[in-house]
Amino acid sequence: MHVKGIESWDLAYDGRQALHRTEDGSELYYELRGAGGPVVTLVSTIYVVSTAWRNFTGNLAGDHRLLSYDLRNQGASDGRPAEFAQHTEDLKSLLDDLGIERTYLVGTSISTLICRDFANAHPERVAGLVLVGPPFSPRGSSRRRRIAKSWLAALDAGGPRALFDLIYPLVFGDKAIAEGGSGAYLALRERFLAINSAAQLRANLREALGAGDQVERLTSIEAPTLLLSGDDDFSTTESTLDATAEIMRNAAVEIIRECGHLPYFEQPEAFQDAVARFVASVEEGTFPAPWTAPATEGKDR
Amino acid sequence: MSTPATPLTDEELVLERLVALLEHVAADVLEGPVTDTGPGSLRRLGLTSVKLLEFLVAIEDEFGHVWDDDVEESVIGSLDAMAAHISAAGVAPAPTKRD
Repeated sequence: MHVKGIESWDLAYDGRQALHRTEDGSELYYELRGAGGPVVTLVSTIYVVSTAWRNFTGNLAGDHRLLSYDLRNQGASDGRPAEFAQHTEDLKSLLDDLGIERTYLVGTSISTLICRDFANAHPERVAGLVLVGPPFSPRGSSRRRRIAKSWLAALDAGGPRALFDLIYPLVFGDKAIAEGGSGAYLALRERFLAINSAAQLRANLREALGAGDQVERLTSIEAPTLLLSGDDDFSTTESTLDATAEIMRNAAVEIIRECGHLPYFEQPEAFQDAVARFVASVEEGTFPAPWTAPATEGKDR
Repeated sequence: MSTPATPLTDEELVLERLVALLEHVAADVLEGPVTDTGPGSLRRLGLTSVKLLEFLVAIEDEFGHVWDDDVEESVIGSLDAMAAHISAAGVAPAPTKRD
């Protein structure tokens, strides 16, 4: 993450929005971009709203249709708090409404669990999965749950500011934090506080705590899956991802160097390249063996 | 007989410069002059993260003020709070280099 890159970030809701109404009356904000090609649905997470994806997917938009949306109780979406499983039904409802029969899903952090559950519930709708910084492992997700509890405790004790201060040094890598300095920290903190209410964050964290940890949900996924992570990710390791790929039916691992939990923020070119290569390989029927990342992967480019 | 205008305080001078600086940095997104300087004024302008970061960097250049992580969130959300913060830090407005 270079300061020059940060200056191009745009998290604003600027009137390009559309709203999808779910069966229970919730309204989900979404954006559909890109001229054509395979549909790639970008599933937001607690600290990444739908608008953020514009900044990290400019290259992908050239030959993919990109759908991003805010989860219920996030960003410009509203809705009643619900069980975590409701996110799966929300996604199906949105895809149905837009007439999208089949899509690639890109999940990040907690939203990889939504992708996991959706792929199990509606395998015919999923062309492939890119799971970025997934917090699960063959050993279950007790670590992920303890982290979520600590985030909820920080939110309860000190509000969104305390939560942001806790997650900022976790989700960004050492290099990004050093190069971004206080300016990036303050600007991102201000946008985080402006976009996320305490009630929304609390609802999302509580829903995430309710997400099931069953390892069998990984082993039953039929869709080709790319497990993608930064090498400075606080929530997983290359060995954990390798072990996860081992128990999955059709998965590969790719590590992006010198970035943390959110590779699309810190290495957007490498992230988009990985997604594009994955989609192309699935479309061509060559995924996964052998899955090899470019020799220049993760370098400054 | 007119009475002489009351001289502006340091904080008011800083605020004037901040408003001018913001209008310069965000000229392409602002719909008009910045007139609201109360609590939450910056947030209400709806600046993107792009513009907010550019503004913070421009302030460092303009005032020789170095931001640190411990700045209260209200300072980053309001022009008047920002002016008070910069003024209290004891940095004098530098001559403007803008056009």
